[in-house]
This record gives sequence, C-alpha cells and structure tokens, in this order.
Amino acid sequence: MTHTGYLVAGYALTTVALAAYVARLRWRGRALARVLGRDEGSGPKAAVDTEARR
Amino acid sequence: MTTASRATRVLGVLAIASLALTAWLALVVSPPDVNQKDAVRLLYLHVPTAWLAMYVSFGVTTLASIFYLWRRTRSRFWDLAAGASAEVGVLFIALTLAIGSIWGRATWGVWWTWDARLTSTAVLLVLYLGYLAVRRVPADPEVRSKRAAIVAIAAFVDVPIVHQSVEWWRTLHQPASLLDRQRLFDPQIKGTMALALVVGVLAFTLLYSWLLIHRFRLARMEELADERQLADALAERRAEGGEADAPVQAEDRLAPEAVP
Repeated sequence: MTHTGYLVAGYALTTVALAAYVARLRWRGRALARVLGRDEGSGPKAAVDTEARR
Repeated sequence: MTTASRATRVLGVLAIASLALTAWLALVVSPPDVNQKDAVRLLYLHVPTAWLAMYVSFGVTTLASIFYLWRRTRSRFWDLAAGASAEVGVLFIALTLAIGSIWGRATWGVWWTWDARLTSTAVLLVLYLGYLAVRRVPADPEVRSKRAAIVAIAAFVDVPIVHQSVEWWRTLHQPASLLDRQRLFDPQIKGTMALALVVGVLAFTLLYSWLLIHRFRLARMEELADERQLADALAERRAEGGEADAPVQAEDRLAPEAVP
C-alpha cells in the first residue's frame, strides 16, 4: 500500500468509527425515549419532567 | 437525537465545522513530509485522539470518581459523568491505537511492536475496558458506583506511565512534539503543520464535549428506565398478591366456622 493509501485508511477508519458511535447513541436514545413513553418535547430534561409528573 | 437540546445542537454544529476545517488544513493546506510523505497527515488525527483520551477523558473520569467517593460531593451526577467520559475515552484511545498502527505500518514497516509507548497505551485501553465492565456488574447501585470509582482512580495511574514511557525507556515511538518541557515555547512542529495540529486538538475537544453530554444524558435515561422497570415489576407483584388474597377472603366469608 502507498503512503496515500495508509492516509485514506486512517481517515476512513476514524470517520466510520465516530459515525458508528454517534449512530449508536442516537439509536439507544430513541429506544429509551420509547421505553420512558415520552411523546412531548425531546431530551433528557423532558424525560426527567415526565418522570417527575408521574 | 433524543438526548439533544439547543445547546448540544450548537455544539454539534461547531464540532463538525471545526472537524471539517481540520480535514482541510490537514489534507490540503499542510505540506507532506520529506520522508513520510502523505502518511504524516495521520498526525492530525493521532495526536488529538491521544490527547483527548488520555488527558481529558480519563482525567474527567478520575476527577468525577474522586468527587463521587468524597462524601461532601457524592451524587449520581459524578458517577454518571465518570462513566460517560470513560466510554468516550475508550473510543478515542482505541482510535489512537488503530491510527497509530496504520501510521506505524507506513513509517516503521510493522503494524505493531512491543514498544513501551504502544504497550502502555494498550494496557490503558484494557484497564478502562475493565472499568466499563465493572460498571455493568450487577450489584447495589451505590456499591457498584464506589467500586467503579476506585477502579477508575487505579486505572489512571497508567496515564503518567504512558506519558513518560518515551523518556523512561528506549522506544521506537518519537518523544513529545508539543509537551516537551525543554521546548515548550519553541516546539519542533511549526507553520501550517502546527496550525492544523492545534485546530485538530480544539475540534476533537469540541467533539468530545458533544459526545460526553449526549452519553451523560443517555446514562440518566437508562437509570430512569431501570427505575421504571423496577417500579412496574413491584406493582405487578403487588397486583398478583392482591389477586391471590381475594379468593381466600371470599372462602372465609362463605365458611365463617373455619375461622377460630
């Protein structure tokens, strides 16, 4: 592999790893939001508010 | 994103814009190296990820763990912050090792060597993976958090070892370029290469902050979901108990002589 090939591999790996982690956070956040039964608003503050109302 | 707020959206946009600026400076503006050619541009990923993982992420985890263990400041906030920062740190330290391995193959001709810097960094990854595993061991939440905080503080002992490894042992890995005490105000890296590196460190710091806030909020939601699940299970058990009692009471009413 050429030096440019290693460079592309390094940048591609970093991009894929970070994108995968962000996607995992999004997926888990949505799944938990469904479990917590939040219909209104978004974010953890809404979750905490919903919990407090119960 | 369900863990998003207006502030995190702004932070996310800033992080992505600064990462794009880093990519432009690293891939277009900064020059290739005489010997390493284009492979030197991996520096602009390798150094920021290492900086973020070792000093920032694991530093925050250690401080948060100390605050959790200290009675005066003990709160769930510090425990969740420690866990969130460690997880992001593990991602960055794994990236540091992976990018370093690719860079090593391009410059040294090998993917891996048992060099002091590489080995101590790999140990650091294993230690914090262990920390994340301890956080998942079933136990009383307070006991589990205390155990995890102690493990986090113990694991951080490896950070100064990683930092000093290039000074203490003869290593293939180069010594510090920026945090060299003798050349702190006159670093070896200059011009657009230095600019790309500094912007890269700032961009990854913004990215870390963004990921940390989301991961922290996710951890809070996980706790709420667990509490909800426990409350539902208890309510179900109580309801089952109530149903079981009901026929007995009815029988008692039908046969009053059975009651002493």
